[in-house]
Amino acid sequence: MKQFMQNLEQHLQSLPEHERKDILRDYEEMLLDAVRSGKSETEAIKALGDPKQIAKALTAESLVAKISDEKSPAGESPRPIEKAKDIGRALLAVAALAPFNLIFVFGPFMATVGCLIAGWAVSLGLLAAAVGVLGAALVESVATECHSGQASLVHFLEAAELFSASAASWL
Amino acid sequence: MNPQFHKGVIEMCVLSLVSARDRYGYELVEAISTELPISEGTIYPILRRLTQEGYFETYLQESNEGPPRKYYRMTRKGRSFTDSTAKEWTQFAKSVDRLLNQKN
Repeated sequence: MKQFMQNLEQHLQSLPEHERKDILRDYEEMLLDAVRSGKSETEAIKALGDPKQIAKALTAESLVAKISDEKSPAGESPRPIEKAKDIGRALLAVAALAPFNLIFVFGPFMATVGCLIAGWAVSLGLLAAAVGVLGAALVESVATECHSGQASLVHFLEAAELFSASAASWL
Repeated sequence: MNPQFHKGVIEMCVLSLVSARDRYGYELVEAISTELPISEGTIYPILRRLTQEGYFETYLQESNEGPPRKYYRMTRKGRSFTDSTAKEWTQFAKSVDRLLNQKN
């Protein structure tokens, strides 16, 4: 049993300490309960499975859950670079899982990543549009000098609006 | 049984058992294994995921027999998820049943 717990701990190294401790506590409880119900230690350990596979599956799920949590409105959302790093880590963990659980973990994971990337693409698009309109407004105001100042002011305001929208979606 | 199909069914059984009253891990293993072929290794990842999804809250409670046990308690969110899943399941089981019993 000690051997099993040590193995599990060793394979959970990539998780934060509080999470690792929580998992180890839970597995120890399960093992003790199984032995108390009349199983031998060997049987109880066998019923839990290979510690390396357990650790891989739990690590991958934890990282995927972390990305999903970051999308939630509560709290400050991290910078895109931090998010990308988390996605990279989760991707590695999920890849390590293959072929085990490919659909069940990987499917929702790809959906999450897809949404994030789509969000980034939209905000980039908005940014590009804002720059375009801003440019057009400037060119126009130069071309017509002060004559149609009102129209270019409208364009300028449109551009500023787009700009702030894209900035908001980035942050 | 198809292992992925199996997993979904076990998840539903876990939800249903916890919705009746707070349970600890091994208690769930014992309750489900009287009816379905499962092992401890199947239950724990399910409990952890359902907790992460916000369907369960956990608390530690002293036991007479040893170290404290972690109990799983259903949240409001978990309850509405369980209700809708149970409805879907009943509908699904009825449909499969009808198809299996079609004699012509």
